[in-house]
Amino acid sequence: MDSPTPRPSVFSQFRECVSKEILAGILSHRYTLVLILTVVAALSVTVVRTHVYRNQVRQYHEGSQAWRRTMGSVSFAWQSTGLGLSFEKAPEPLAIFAFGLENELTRSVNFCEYYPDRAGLRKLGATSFRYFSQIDITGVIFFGYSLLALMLVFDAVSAGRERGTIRILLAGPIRRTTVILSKIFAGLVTLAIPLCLAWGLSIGYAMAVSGHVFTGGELARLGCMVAVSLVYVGAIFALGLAASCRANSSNSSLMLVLFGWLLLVLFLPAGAKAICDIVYPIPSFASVEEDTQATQAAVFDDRLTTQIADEILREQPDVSPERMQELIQKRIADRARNAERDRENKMRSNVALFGKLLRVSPAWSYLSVSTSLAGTGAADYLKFLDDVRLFRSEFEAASEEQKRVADASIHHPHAFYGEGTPFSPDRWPSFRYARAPVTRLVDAVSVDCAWIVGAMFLFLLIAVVGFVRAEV
Amino acid sequence: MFRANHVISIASREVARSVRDTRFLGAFTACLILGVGSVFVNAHSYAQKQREYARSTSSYARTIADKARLVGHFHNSPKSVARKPVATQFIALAGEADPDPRAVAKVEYSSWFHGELRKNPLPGLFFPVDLTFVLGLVMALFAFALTYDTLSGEVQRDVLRLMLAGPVSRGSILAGKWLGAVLSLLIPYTVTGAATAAVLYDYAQAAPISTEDVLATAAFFGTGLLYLCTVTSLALMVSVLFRSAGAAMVCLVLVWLVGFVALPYSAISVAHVFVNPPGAASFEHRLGSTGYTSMNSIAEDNLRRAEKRLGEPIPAAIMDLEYAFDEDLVGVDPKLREMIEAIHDEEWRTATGVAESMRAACSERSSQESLVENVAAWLRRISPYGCFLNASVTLANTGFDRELQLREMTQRYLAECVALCRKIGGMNRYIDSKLFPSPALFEVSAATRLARCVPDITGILVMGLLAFLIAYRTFVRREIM
Repeated sequence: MDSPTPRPSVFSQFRECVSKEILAGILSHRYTLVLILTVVAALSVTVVRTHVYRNQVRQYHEGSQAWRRTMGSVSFAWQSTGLGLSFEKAPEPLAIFAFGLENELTRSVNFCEYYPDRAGLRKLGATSFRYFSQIDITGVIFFGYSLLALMLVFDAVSAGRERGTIRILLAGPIRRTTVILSKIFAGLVTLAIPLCLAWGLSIGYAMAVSGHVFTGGELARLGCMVAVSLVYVGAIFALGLAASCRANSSNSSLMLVLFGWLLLVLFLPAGAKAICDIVYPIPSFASVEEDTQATQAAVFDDRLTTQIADEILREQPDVSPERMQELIQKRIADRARNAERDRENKMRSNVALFGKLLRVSPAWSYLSVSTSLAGTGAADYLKFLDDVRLFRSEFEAASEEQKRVADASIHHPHAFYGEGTPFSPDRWPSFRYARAPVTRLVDAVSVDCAWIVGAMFLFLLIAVVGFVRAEV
Repeated sequence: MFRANHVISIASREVARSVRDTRFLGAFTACLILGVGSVFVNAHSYAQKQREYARSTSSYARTIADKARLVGHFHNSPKSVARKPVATQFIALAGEADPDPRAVAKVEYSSWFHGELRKNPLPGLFFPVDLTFVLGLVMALFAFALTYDTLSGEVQRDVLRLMLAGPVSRGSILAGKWLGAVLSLLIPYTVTGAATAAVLYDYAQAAPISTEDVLATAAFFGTGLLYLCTVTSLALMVSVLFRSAGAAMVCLVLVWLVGFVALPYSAISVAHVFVNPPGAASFEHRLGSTGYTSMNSIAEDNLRRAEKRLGEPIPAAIMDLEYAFDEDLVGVDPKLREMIEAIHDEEWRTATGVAESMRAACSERSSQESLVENVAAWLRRISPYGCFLNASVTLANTGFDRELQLREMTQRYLAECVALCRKIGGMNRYIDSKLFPSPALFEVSAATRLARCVPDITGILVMGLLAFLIAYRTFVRREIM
């Protein structure tokens, strides 16, 4: 009597299923289309972004030199603060891959005595189509590749259930967990191939053509961006598989994944914005101006001056008259800026809440992580505002110092035309901006990264449980 | 080819089948919630912007009336022009999504719209949701999801062969299925339109909408209907071309991603590659440097030019005296008066010249940006959604045309202010605030907006007809095995 055929081990069954799934996936027309489209789209957008970056760098240098020449023609400090001092941040090379808020970060900033800081022209995209004109490889993955991944996986289980092939497969000596885990593993591997290819070609092109030498830190950030995109696509794949395992038919599965994708990728931010504007409404520019002007007008009201003088005398009974005058003016200026400060604080709270609400969606967590790694995220924008404020206070302090030195000549009746505090661009502070430090970066991305990984495992768990418990 | 009774019979059966499908329920719910939600949010946003605009303009009018009592004060005061919000932004947000709220015009620098620095920038990362987005993109995706297996699914299930065995022509089958799909999609479309009207009626007091805007909205929904027919033709074409429903769906998703999302929205980036206007920095520098130059040389140059006109030297100290006299220089020595008036004339000439050169720089920049916009608009016309997007933005009046109008308005306002000062003359003269000009914006009529949409509407129509013809030709010639 022949001895019974030994039952294949679970691992060998798993290996065989995985290899069959991978082959079946890679050899399908759908997969070929997805691969070609992803690589072409990613490379195309990187070509456009690299070209745009090179242009921006050239214009930044031209603009900086032009402004230095203009400042050179300025004779007196009061002219610069009266007409407005302009400066801007240099373009970010990693924005080639994740444009994020770069269009806002690279706007010139103008400050002068007459009104709050203004943002100049946006460098890219005409005014009517600013949104989604910043297409980049992160956007291709976030938006396009995620949908394509869902299209590859939405009928992975439901189609087999409809055709009856799953039943035949499970009739054999194979466990359900082996089947579903092999599908998961094979799916993740097949989806990773076009992604890695797209990233590799894009990074290679940017390194060769952008004219920027990527530092070790920047390459490390790029590596992290690639890793996060793989995890994100894995989470989306898991979502599609969970829908396929739960749905009774391919049509239902399709509607589930489309709904889920639309909600997570497109519609959540609109709701988040509405909530943030209700919880932390940002006072309008007009209201800030009105408050500022009201305070400045109150300067002519002796009651305010007397009130402030009384406060100072209570705090510093021995203050000299000259010092008293200085302190009164400083406090009036501080009050005038209260409205602006209040607005900024509310804006920061609004941004923080917005970021937290967006975390409901792993898609937006992915975008948040990618833009933070590229230096074009919300934290970078807030740091930029901090640096603007710092520069303004340094410039005003330097201006006050120079005025004190040349005080006598400023009050000369002919000072308007010929004399006053001399201004030389080389002797005044310059605007400095650096990316957020690594500690701040880790703070900004750790929660989002954890959430994307968590979402992936959650959806995978739903898929596995759904498949194992389902009646076939 | 087509028999009306067969077409109607097949269409009614398709509609009945469709409304019982869970996909239809999903599509209906999504479009209604998102469509009405977007109108509600955008109408609320418009009401808010309208309040801020009214506050801003009245605050400015009060400030300028209080402070600018002398010609010199009015001339030197910064002129603030707020951006007037658009009532029809619920159709297509476009330039209203994150607009730069105001332009500040002063004689030494330009009246260009500037942005706020301290604002939440994150909404700029995602699609602002408006009716064009919901009806144009979301509904198109659901339309594909509803119709991808109209024919390919029936081929797979072997139902089509039975149908063709009867006395129904292939043309009638195709036309019936097309009509049925359109009528099915018309249900959520119409309900969304009605709900939109209800929301706008509710907001009529806080966010008033003019008759022209109502007509433009009606034209938008008419264009949307045409677009829906084209999308259905496209879905049907793909369903005919593919034998497998799964492959048809993937193809349609690819078409949606590339043709409906990537091409239209990346058109502006591609246009920038081909038509690159001079950088923003060099333009801003040009405006700024004109102001600095004028400020530096205004006194010296004006003095020299005045001397040349009079034909004799003028002591520099005269320039300190012009403010020492009353507005009409009463009691002043005639020779001294002649010198002061010569200097005044040169000051106004310089001011007008600076304002003109600013205006020329701004016009040049606008025309360069217009070129980029036009190239982008033509690139968008490759896709039916791109045509629909162009048409919607034009009908909503939120596109680049409006931006140009606003810029022209601010430049005109600044020029009128300078002209008024020059007419009254004399820096120390009183100026009646009733004479102050106001920025005036001429609204575009609905008929003009519709006329501008003709190329886009034609594009939608042509693409729809082409898709249907390809579907018909393929279906009629295909062997059904």
